[in-house]
Amino acid sequence: MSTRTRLHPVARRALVVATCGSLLGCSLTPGGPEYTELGMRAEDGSNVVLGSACTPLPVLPGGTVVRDVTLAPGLSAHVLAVRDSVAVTLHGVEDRAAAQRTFSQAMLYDGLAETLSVTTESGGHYTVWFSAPCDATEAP
Amino acid sequence: MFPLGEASGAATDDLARRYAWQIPFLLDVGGRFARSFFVGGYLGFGIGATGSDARVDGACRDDDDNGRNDIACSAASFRIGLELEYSFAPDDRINPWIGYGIGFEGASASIKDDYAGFDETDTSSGITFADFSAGFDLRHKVGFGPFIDVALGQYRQTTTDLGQRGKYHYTIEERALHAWLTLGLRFVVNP
Repeated sequence: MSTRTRLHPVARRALVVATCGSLLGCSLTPGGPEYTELGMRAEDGSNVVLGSACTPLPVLPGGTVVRDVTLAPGLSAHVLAVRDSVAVTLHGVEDRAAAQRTFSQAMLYDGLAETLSVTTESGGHYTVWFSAPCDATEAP
Repeated sequence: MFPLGEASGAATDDLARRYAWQIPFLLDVGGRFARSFFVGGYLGFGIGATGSDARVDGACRDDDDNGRNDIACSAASFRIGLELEYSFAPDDRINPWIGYGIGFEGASASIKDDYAGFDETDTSSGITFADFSAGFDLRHKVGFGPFIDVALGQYRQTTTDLGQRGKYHYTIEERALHAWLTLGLRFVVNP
């Protein structure tokens, strides 16, 4: 009959960390790229979310994500994401100069929360949120 | 097979940053006419690694010690087209030849991160509008000899497949010229 000593999972993990820490180059995670997403959502004056989307940035050179997102009645966004940045152009807004936003991958990775108040050509008033990590869910 | 030139007109989008050198496999099928001319089709594919981009290179390095490959990166290419070859000495033991082809081509790079649950495959495709080749065959029952091939092309579209995160098609607006340089040995059946 043999007896075996069972380590508590936390103790086992601590032992692994301690062992790895004593070995040169030992790592517990395999690394991997820095994944980022841009979140967008549009709210009306009552803070009701009318439309939202998460747009992932590719990590390989040459990867390109292009999509059009409907955020609210009369308000849409054209999104062009490459590995280093994402450019957003809002369509249907009165102030076209303010309707363009570009965010670098580093900005998104560090965390982003920006708002933009827009008035559509049809007179609607909305607040557009840009966020990273993405806290939006795709609109149905 | 070595990448040269630019994959697109975007800044720093060199072909070699996307794809490393590859091991190619090429097949030519066709027939001869007027003894010195060969007309036919070519089909090729290559396999290799992702390119020289430092961020991708670092990301593709699985540096934990669990004995599993959690992050896999790879690249591949294909091409298909029509070609014409001219043999300078088709009845001699040593036959120099030159060729020209035109067709379609594509290349893809992939990263699969099982640890983070992320997949990405980018495939660019376009036209090979000038595929120059030259070499010489040592002819017996089966001919063989070295050759060099330079395929000039331009990618027109890219598909970025992010798995569950979506698949996106993009028509490249800023196009650029690139080339694949191939050095190798070819074998000729029924020369």
